[in-house]
Amino acid sequence: MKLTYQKYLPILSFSLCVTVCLFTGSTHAQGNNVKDSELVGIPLRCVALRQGQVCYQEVIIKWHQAEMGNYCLVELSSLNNIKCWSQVNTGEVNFDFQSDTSLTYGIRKKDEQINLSTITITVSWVFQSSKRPKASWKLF
Amino acid sequence: MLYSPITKLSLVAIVLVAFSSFTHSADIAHTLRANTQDNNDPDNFIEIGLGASLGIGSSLIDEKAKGLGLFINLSSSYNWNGFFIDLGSETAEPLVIGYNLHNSDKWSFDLVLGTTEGGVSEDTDDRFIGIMKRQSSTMVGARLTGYFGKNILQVSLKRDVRGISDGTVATALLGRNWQYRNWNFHGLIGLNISDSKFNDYYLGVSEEESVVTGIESYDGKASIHFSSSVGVTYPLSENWIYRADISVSSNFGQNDSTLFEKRRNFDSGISTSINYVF
Repeated sequence: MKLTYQKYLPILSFSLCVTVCLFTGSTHAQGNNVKDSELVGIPLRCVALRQGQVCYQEVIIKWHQAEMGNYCLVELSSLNNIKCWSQVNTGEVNFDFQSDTSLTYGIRKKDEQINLSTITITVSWVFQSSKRPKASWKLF
Repeated sequence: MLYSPITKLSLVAIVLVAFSSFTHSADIAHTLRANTQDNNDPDNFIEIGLGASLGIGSSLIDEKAKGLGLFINLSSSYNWNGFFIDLGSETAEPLVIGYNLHNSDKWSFDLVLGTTEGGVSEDTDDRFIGIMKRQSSTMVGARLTGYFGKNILQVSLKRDVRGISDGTVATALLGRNWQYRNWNFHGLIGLNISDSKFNDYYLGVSEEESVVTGIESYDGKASIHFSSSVGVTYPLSENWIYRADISVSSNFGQNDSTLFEKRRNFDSGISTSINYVF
């Protein structure tokens, strides 16, 4: 159902641009102050169109620790190292997040199991998926 | 959107909506756009959007046959216990009510009732003063949808049971979607067959009307009409989506009606919109 409003073209065009700009800005406005936290991610959310789809997002994770040392950023469900650093107390990594579920990342001292700090990249979606029941014929 | 954006731009909309290949494609259109996998439960949603479109095609009024316009997009679907109500742009019909009679992983069979919009009337243009107002038809029929991975096939057969046109319309639609990163692309092609009764009611001009309006008399004939659309949907947030579409459809067998002031063999259009999904 579409209603045309040609005479409102300039106003509506401006509104469209403002909306796009607001969304573009909002994805980069979350949690980028590493001084206030030991581990921050930008952005913290990846939005897919449909639940179950792989969501793609360029993510920057920054971390800071009081002590110099050897640290690794680890994806905690697979225990894969995203990146390791030597003799530093701060780091930053930019990587291509690809997942159909939310994933949590932790900063650890190299070869240790204790998470010094964690952060979760949340996967959300617009349309939820739910499987229909198996084959059936029905009449009310 | 799966019907030509030209419908938003001109009064030919009234006729094209009734004849669109996609007037029976409520499920398949949204299913493709929203990248539903296999035969999932249909979505319950309300979608409100704002968009712009550019189109060119046949028109009842010459100056409305091409142009740029803005539109507000309203569509929704509600499904409960097999019953469903689809409203708005996904169908090109204002209202579709149906019941899902059979469902499996691969196939879905629905009984559907859809009301077309009306056709030409005296309010359309001064050219039509004295013409009989074409009422909306109440189309009742069946719709079969097959799900084959990312491909969806849908065929439907409907007949006007209100006795307005007494016409019959058959459609066949084939669609597919693809995902590239968070961009969800879809393509849809379709064939629509309208019988002579349907076409004659909406596009015909009787001898009596010809005498009053000066428009040459015309008898509607059965027609086969091709439609195609490709589009993309991108999620901006959990509630906002961006959509863009390009569509081309044929007018053969319809645009020889003397009601049309501007005749083209094809309608084509492009549209873009931002929509809020509840």
